[in-house]
Amino acid sequence: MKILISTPLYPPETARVSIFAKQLAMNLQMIYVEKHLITLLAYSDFPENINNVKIISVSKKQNLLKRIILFTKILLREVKNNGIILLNQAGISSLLTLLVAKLFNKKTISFIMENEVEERSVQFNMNKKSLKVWQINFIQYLVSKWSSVVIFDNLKLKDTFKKKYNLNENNLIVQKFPIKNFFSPFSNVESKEKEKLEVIKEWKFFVEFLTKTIS
Amino acid sequence: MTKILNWEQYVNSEMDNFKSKILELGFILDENQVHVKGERSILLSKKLILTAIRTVDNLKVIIKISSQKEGIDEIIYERMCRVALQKMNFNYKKFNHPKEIHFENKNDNLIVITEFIGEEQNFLQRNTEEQFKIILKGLEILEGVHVTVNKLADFVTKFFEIKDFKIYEKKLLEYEKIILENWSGDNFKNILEKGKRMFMGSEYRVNQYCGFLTHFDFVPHNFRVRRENNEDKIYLLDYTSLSIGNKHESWARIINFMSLYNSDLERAILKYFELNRSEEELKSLKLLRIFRLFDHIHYYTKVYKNLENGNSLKELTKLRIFFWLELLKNVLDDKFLDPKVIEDYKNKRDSLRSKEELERQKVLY
Repeated sequence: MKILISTPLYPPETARVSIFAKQLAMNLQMIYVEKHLITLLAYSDFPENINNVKIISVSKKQNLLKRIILFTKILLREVKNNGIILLNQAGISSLLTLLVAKLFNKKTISFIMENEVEERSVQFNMNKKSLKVWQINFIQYLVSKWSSVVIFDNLKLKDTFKKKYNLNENNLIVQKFPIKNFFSPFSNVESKEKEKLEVIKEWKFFVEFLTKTIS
Repeated sequence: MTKILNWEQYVNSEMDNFKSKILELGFILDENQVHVKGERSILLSKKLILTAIRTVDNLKVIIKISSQKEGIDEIIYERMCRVALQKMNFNYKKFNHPKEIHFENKNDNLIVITEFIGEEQNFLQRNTEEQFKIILKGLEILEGVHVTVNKLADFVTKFFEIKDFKIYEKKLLEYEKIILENWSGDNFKNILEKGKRMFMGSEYRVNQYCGFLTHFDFVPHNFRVRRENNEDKIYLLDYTSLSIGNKHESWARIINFMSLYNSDLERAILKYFELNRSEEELKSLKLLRIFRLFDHIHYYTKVYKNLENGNSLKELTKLRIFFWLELLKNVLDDKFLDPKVIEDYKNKRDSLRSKEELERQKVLY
């Protein structure tokens, strides 16, 4: 099956959301093997390469309107060509992707690892009653409500979303995202290999689980 | 000796100028002012960094003073960058900043007093794993600021220099010119040519990792680590070296630095990259190491030119230039420096250093 991943962040961006997008594409590709089966659409200026994954990027340097128009244009082409649409986090890029996916009647799976309302208001010191936070909240609501399936990184997050947005339990899944972004340079060869194998195993499980969800 | 005498005269005149003001503000200068001694003179700085005690509560402080335009501008710029960094609300993790106690800029006499950040242990006294954790933490804070959206760019351009491949390329060519004007041997020409070719053919790779907050001089004397609430907090001390550029510029500086001071840490950081970062990042890191070494050699070449013959500092500067050139040669070939080269260099360097400088070094690291 052809898979499209839509992500607001992608390396060189360093956020967890960005690392997850790359690792997800890489691991899906490794398991599916076929060339260009995975397409990744990201807001990025110089995206990092993944062997055999088609990466399409939209520059963040242009103004918001231009960016949204270009992103939507690409979506209209790519969503049609892909069987399943994966959405990374519940932001504006996911909402756009979701709207186009609905147009083509495609199945969508959203991955939520952060409550952006909390993240932004606490970490960035934003007023919870501000218009910006209201927008984030509203987009998050629409994405989690309209996605065919929402996969959460942890139970607490799922419960928060379910309660806050009155979501249908049947569409919600909890499955820990196997993001690994630190291998210690001080571990010995044996434990390094063990750690690597563990990560591969976790990703294999995650991808198999995802495949089952898709089918 | 002229340069050193000029520096001494400058130090004395600034001290005379500010001494009474500092006392009036309730601070007593330490008798031994290590930051004005030794090789500090080769920086040709137009500001002085002094240590003092607040009389009411014995609080240790750092006092920066200047009556020269260049020095005043530098201190004001530094303060502006510190405030900008504190205001940046688009990065998750943040540096800690020494608290400002007093700021005054009257009649071209500028004085800034900040809290002194003491450390339980000097950076290089920590074990390599601890050093690595601190470096990683500091550099991840910098990497956390990525200016990709217009409104963020509008904010940061007010404060920080923005660097992309074109800027790096221009600087690299300037550095090469200055170095080769002074050092015409084949060794210099060949190594610099190889480095230049590698760098010039990598516009995409350098630009790929641009747009990040970087620190041009992220080395132990420019930050302090203090244990607070069971956590190592990093206090940034130098704000003038911040810019928006390739994120590996900060990594490159500390790795090059550690090639000399702790090669185990140099290897650990490179291993970390190999295990955790993409191949593209590794390539970009190498390019920035090359760039920083061009810069370093050019800097010491300029210092060398300004020193008079027969001065041990001149001999030491030449030694440094050849050492960093040797490192550049090794980086280009993806090799580590021979430990014997490092040892020989350290021995010769220390034999050429003055007593004051050896004392200053102890305080720095």
